[in-house]
Amino acid sequence: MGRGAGKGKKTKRKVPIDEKKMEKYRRGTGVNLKMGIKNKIHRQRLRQKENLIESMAEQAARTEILLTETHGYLEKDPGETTTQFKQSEIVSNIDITSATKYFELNLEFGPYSLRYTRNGRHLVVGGKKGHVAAFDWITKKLACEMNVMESVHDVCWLHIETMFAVAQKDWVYIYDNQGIELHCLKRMNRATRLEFLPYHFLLASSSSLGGLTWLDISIGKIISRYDSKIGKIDVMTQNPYNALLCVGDSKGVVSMWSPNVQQPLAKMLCHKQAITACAVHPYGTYMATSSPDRTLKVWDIRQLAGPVHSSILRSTAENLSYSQSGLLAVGMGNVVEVFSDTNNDFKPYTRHKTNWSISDLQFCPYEDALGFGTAKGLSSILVPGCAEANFDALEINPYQTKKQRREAEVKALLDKIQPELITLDTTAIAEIDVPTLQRKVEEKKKLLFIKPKTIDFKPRRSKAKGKGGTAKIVKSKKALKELARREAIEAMRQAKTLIDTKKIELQKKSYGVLNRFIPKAKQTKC
Amino acid sequence: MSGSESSWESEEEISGNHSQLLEAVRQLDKSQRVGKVERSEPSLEVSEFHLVKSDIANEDAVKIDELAKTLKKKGDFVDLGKKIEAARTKVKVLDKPLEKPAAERIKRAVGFQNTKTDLTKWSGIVARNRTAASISFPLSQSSMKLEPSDEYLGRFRIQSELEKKLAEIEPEKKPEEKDAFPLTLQEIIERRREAAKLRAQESYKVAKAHRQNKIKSKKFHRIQRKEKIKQTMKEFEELQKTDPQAALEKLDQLDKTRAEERMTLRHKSTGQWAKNKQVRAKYDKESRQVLAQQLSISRELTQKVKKDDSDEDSDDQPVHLPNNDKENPWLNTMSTQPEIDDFVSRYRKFYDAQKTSEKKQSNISKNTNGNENTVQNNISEDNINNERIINNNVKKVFEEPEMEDVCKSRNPVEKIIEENFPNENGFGKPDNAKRFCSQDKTHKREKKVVKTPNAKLKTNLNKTLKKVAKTKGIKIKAGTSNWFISPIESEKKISNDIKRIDIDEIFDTLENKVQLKVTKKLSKMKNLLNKEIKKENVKKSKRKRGNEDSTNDVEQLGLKGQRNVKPIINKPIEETTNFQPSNKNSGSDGINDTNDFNSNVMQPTKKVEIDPNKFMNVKPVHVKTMLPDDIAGDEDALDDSEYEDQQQIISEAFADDDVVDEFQREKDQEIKKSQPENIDLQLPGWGSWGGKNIKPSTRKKRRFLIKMPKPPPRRDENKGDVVIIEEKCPKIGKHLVSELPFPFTSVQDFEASIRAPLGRDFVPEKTFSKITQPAVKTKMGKVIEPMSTDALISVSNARKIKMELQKKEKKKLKRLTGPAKLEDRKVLNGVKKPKQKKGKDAQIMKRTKQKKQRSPSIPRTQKQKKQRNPNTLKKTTEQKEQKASNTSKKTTERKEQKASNTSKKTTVQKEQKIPNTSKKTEQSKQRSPNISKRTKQSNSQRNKTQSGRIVKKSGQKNGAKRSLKKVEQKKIIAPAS
Repeated sequence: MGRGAGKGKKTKRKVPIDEKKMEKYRRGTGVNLKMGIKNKIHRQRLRQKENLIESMAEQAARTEILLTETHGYLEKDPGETTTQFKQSEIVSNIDITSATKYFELNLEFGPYSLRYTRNGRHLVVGGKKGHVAAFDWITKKLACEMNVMESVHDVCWLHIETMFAVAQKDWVYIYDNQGIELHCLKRMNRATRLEFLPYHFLLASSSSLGGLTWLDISIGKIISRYDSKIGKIDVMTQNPYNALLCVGDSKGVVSMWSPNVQQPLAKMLCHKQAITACAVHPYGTYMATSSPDRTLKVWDIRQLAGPVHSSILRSTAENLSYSQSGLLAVGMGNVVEVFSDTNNDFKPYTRHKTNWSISDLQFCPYEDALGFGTAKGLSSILVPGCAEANFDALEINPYQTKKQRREAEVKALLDKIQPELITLDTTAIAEIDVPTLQRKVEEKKKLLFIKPKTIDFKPRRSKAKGKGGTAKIVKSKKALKELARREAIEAMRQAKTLIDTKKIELQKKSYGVLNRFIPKAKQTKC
Repeated sequence: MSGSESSWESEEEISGNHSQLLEAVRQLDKSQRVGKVERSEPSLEVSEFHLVKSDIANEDAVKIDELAKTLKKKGDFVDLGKKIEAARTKVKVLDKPLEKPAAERIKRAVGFQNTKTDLTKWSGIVARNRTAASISFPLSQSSMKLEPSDEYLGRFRIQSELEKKLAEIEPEKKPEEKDAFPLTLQEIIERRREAAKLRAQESYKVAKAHRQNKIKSKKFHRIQRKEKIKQTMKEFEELQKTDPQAALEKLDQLDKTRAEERMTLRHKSTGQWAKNKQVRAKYDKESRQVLAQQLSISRELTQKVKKDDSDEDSDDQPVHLPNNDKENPWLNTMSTQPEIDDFVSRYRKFYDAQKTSEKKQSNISKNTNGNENTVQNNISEDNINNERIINNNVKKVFEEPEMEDVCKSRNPVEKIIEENFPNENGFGKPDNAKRFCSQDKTHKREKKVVKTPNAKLKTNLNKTLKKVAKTKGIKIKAGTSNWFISPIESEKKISNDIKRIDIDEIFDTLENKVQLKVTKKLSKMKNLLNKEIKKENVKKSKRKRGNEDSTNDVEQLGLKGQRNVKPIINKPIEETTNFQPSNKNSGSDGINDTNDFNSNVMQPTKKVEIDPNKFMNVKPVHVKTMLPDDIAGDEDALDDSEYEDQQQIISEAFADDDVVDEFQREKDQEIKKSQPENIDLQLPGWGSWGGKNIKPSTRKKRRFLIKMPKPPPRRDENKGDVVIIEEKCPKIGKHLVSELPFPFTSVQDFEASIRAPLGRDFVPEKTFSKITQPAVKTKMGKVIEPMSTDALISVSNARKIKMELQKKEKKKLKRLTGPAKLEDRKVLNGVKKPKQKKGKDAQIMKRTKQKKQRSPSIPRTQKQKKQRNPNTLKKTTEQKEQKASNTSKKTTERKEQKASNTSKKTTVQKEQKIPNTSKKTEQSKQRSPNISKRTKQSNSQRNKTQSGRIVKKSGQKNGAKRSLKKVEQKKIIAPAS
């Protein structure tokens, strides 16, 4: 009996999931099974698939509970501000291991540029005066250090921490982690900036002559190389969302380039003056730009609209960097200031002053640290809560072993995305080429004895999210009509009054005795 | 001879006479008749002329088959007889066989049809396999699924001694099974008859209602309605007496009608009928009246029904006041300005009169009279106008010189409250109201019930009373304090007045109601005023308002709850105008102008304008960041990058250079590039004069211009300083799908079908394995055989069937064994009667066993017959005796065979129970003669099996009967399985 009762209780009820969470993973509306598909069996199949996608979303939503970590923050007492905490104070209040992440290296060879690997473990620095060094910055274990005896403009890690590219005086060189020169890319000449697109295995460089070059490092082939016609390129970043290169020019325009078209896919006029720095949010949602007129603007880069925030600083922002959690570091002279954007409230979070002017600046992924190169070395400061708290070890693993790295490399190569797929809109690949389809259908219609299919050409994504909708359109139409009607009425009224005044005038015009000769018809007419 | 001749002659004569007579008679009968042919003389010659027509032949005629019959009997003529018989039997000649192709065609058609129907049985499984996400071959694989462990262990459970004993005391309850035949035939028939009767009655009623609905007489409907109302009233009253809870619930129905009314526009002036009436209303008094009535109905229906339980103690709650004027259609209707003035003046008079009690009395009577007048005169009054009256009154009150000093110092609304509150407090509740409080509730409810169905029910007296109440209400609104000091008095006075009109008795009852309303209204007003004060204070700070505003505010007081809501909602809007946004900057340094910041933050997302200048003019926020040292003039920080510095200087120097214009120009160019240009095919001078200064005609221009279609709207159309190059990238085109695959007919659907990624990185592992499952899986080394008919019974189904069978077996076994135990116990106790039953039961069971043992082909009736026959019954009982020991064993064995899964435990139990059953059979043997007797008695009634009847007769419960049925069912199933 007891067993029987137990059986009844055994039926598990799944914990309901928040609908919002589900919506996040649901990937939009599904196939319209009621109308579109006539064949029963195909409909059934599609239904099964839809169910699968639904369950997929559900599972993904459920796994969110596994993201147990939350990012840190600076706790302030009433009356305090987070900006008032100095690095020394922060360091004194944290554990030893974290405290080691605050350090400063005094180096000789000029303003330094630096780059972290994607997992935030390794750091490569390049001094303008030829000093190049790669090291595991957490353990402070040096991998290699050398002086290339040339001016170094930029450094950049390739897909793994064993290789990095250095933009030197004339060409770009690739070194391994022992400092051995692997390649000399002579076609990437006079490079000023380097960017590596990890999913496409593309090394992109901008030259002081205004050229842009993309090199596929997996096959060692230059994919595309052309002149951007905007003069010397000093500002270039990548948009991690769609792998476009955001290039800031001297006219205040940020243009977005793909290796497929010799034209920018989009251009935004961001400032009235040259753009000094440009940074894109890791999720590809926002772009921050600055110009010498001391303005700092944040743009909605998905909608290509904005600015979302616009602010005037007290000095020119020369370097910008977004952290994984969306903090924006701004380097101004020898001051670095971190802004947070919570609830549409754009305000300073922390600030730090160094002795030397800042030449480059980057948030470390998966570590609450901000590294910046100065004229006389480089330093790393602590910014609580700047990094992603939960990492996906299958995607990027900060604690990668050698074996894992190898495996990840092979996997990444297998999952390499072709450079043709770099577009402004990342979902373009999931759409039908409607014009071609239409043309094909038209051609088929011309053929005799073939019954053309009736196809609904309306694309799935016809409008921007949250915009329009038939109801809205109808409403606005109605409002406009009403407005037009009112205007017309107003115009009519005015016209009438005009006529009336005329009438009066005409009537008033008297010829004295001769009035009697005015034709009556005319009078009435008026 | 002669004698004989003469006799013959005479005979002939006679016959001649007779024939003559016959002839004569025949002639009378005009219809021609063929006479019966008679063979006058014998002759050997046989000709067709001599044959007698068989049709007309009389019965005496000898027929061939009769002859043949006789012939048959004799040996020689047997053959002849047979031949004749053979000749007599009609032989249907077969049709000529169809031509071969036609026959074949038919054959094919039939064959096709047959195979088609035959193949449909496969359609299910085929569809399933086709829709399956993946199929693994061979299709019929035994499942590797393990039995749940607790189920498995359950088999080995051995009952402890205690458990056994407990089981004996309390036999395990079987789950109630559904009886296959829960009703007897008679019961079913009876039920059907009842249902038919009900249906018939319903249909009659429907027909009647239909008929009545078609009646166009208004009078009829009116009467009917009244009757209905009366009926409901009566019912309600009864309910109130008997079941107040139900009555309350019934009252809730009012809410429902209210909601319905609020939803629909039924009684509004929007319908065609109402519109027509409105057109006429200007001239026609009657239509005005009708319209007013209609509106009043809606008002009544939409009136909020207040639960009286709460309003007694809770003054804070916004209490709805059943506004009297709203109930009164006459007062709700239009009133002209002079009338209003008249009313106001009267009111003023009344106000003055209050100071002197004598005057007051006379005034009230005047008022009531005046109201009556207005009722008669202004039938089509509007609600709004009514409010206007009130407002005017209020205005007047405020304009009173006495009040003015108060007005100056304070807000008029506040003043009203102050006036009202102390009154209320000092006065508490009017005595009457107190006294009749409980009564009032019921009264009110009744009244509402009456009201809702029809406004017409209200009597004229009621109306007048309400008018009186209304005047009171107005007074309250006006905030006249004197009124409240002696409400009972005034009440009395009113009643005195009314006495003159001889409505004293009714007034007594309604007085309370009125009083309650007054108090309600007051409390409501209080609430409203509280709100108003707050609002007014806010307003006051902003702008000044004259007397008009205050009246407006009061105007809202007079309105109904719904209308009052509006200004309250509107209020915060006014507040926000004055609202200072809080300083958002929490940085160490203050931000100069927070207002700007806020506006800027909000604006850019909203404002997407085409004018770039405007776009750029968005005011940025000044953020006080830390100043870098070099800017602060610190010499230590040397800027190495002189070049950058220079550039900065240059760019600053050229700031606001035509960057924006240039960009706009670029954009325009881009737009132009993307638009295809129109093609002008016109040849100058062709068909017209050519040369300088000659403009080609517009007609020609139009004719030879090929217009390009308008391009679709650009993505950057309204985006300001953004250029998006829309030219499709040719490289990605290679990877795009440019044809719609089969089941899809719309691009949208196909795109939706490929919306979800499949990769491991994007999809949870569980779904990934599902989504990437191969469509067909095969087992290595296994032969994939074509599907057999076994596949039609799905594996799971087959298992289910098997399980069911096993279950049945088990149940049966339990029934066999379980009750037997009980029986034994009872025997021990010496209870006799159940024992008898048990005996019968056992017998029945035995019989069923017997049946089982017999071949199933033996028809049931035969068995029954056998059983019914007492002799045979004896025999059968004897047989039973012989088999008794065997049968039980056999059955158990068989069960074991069938229920291969059943555990040892059950078999053990069975074995334990076997002896019992055998015992029972012995007992049953003794009882059997009686049974047979009974069966004899009830022979005629029986439709079912005898044993079943016996069970019923003996009062055994369904169990045994069911067991029998089960057994029978099982027998039916058995061959199939």
